[in-house]
Amino acid sequence: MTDGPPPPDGGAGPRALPPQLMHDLRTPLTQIIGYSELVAEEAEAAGHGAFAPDLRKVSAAGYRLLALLDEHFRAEPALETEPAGPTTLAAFIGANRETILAEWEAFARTCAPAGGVMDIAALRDHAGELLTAIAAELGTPRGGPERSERSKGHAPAAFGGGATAAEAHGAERAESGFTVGQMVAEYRALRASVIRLWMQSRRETTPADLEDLARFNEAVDLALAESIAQYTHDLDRSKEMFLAVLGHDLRTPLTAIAASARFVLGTQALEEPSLGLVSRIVRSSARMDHMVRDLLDFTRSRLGGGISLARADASAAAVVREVADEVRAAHPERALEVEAEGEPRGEWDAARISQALTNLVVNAVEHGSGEAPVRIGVAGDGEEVTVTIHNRGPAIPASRIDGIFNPMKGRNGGSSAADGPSGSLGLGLYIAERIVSAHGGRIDVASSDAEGTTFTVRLPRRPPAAR
Amino acid sequence: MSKILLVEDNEMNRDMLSRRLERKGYEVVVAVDGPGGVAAAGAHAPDLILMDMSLPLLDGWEATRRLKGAPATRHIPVVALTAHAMSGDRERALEAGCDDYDTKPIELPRLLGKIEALLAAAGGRRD
Repeated sequence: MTDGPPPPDGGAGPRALPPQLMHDLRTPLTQIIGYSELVAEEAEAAGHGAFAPDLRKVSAAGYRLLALLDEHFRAEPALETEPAGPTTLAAFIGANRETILAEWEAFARTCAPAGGVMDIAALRDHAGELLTAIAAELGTPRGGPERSERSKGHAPAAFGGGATAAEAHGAERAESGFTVGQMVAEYRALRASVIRLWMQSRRETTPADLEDLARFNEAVDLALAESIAQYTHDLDRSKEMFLAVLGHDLRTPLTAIAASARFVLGTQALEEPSLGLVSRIVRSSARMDHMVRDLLDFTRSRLGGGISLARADASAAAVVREVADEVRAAHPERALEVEAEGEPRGEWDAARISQALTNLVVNAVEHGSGEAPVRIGVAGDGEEVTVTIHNRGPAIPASRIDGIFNPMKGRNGGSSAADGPSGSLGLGLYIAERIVSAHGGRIDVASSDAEGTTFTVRLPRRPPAAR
Repeated sequence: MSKILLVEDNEMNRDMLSRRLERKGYEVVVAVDGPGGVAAAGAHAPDLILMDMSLPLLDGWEATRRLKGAPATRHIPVVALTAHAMSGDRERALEAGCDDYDTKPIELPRLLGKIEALLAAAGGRRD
């Protein structure tokens, strides 16, 4: 009983009885009433009128019992069964949608979150579509290619070329403020309602029924998996959207700080120690702006927007020199060496390439050995321009080279070049990789204690379509 | 003398109601299931049919639908009888083509009133 949803009316009002039991209780009572009235009529006709008053009392007692029955019990909504005998579970669901949905809705209301955006009509529509989808799933031949794909989690879009009913349900629940637990409970209720009502309509269970039940459970599990996948996807999306808005809001005051500090520096009226302190404000705000920009790019690329490029004729060597100058300004204690050879020009988004290379060079400066310079090489060769960034220092463990560009990979301490800059979100390498990929290029990493660490950026000179 | 076809699967209900109707002067023929009811309506040409709704093989709604769909029987008034007043049963009965509706237990004066009204209306139409 704990598995089933409560009856729609809870404890109040007449108690629900299975329709067959209600019928079986009423039938002998109506017969007592009918026969006592019949006998009273016949007794009067045969001249035995003296019996009639007592027979009327029997009939009145019968009516009183019927009234009590009606007062305290009511028949559950009748279940549709095919008069010709056994039916399939799919047909049963089709014929009894309303009864199933009524039970399920009563349960869903009990777990609706307080203050959530609940629209009961929409809730019922979703449940109805789910039921239709599940019934359709029951009707698909078992072991067909589509079914086996679905059971592995590759669901085709079954509804209007968009989301499946289960996915729509998951999305709606995420929006309504349901927890995953509440959504799972809803599916449990749907499963329990269908099975309980179906079993109640069966006189005996056949092997085909068991097969139907197994397939029904499989279909519910599939729908549940789809709902949860969509639910978590939507939840992730709203979190990332929040980050994107936050990132944007952070940049606004930051821009004001940087502009004000640059203005003060520009007056050339400062002396030490103020000059050094204001210079630090400029450098730190620039670095913070860079981090926030990475965060924005990260969320944008995760939200499916990708990295947008504005390509124009650019020189990789020029970009590298600018990047080196900027990093030297931020890290005056560190040595950077730049070497360029070959033709350095291509069609790139120079600002983006600068952002990517800055991330790589800052990474090398922060994690490389302080005693050796960071070497940046630019080499133009045929269709590609290659930029290498090399630092000395402890090697990145081989186990961390894989997924080094994945910001979700755990970064627990350590001081090799795989770790994000101290105090950063560790998004720099991820963003660098996204930008280079957007240009049709790639970044390789080689690292050893003897040779140090080298990031190699390969940039095709032209967009893929133009080559 | 009007002829009534009583389609009812429960033996005691059949016996009880047919005897009470006969006492009131009607000729009663009986059938015990849906197909039997449809066949008896064709064979006996009753003036009115009392149709239980929960019948074996073919329920009362479907049997009524068939009777009302056949030229030979569609003019015969049908009164639906149901075991208990389930909400929606009345609508379903009328939807299937029943001319009136009554619930068990049968209150004979009430049922006789409905029967007489339908017989009068049918007789009026035929004249």
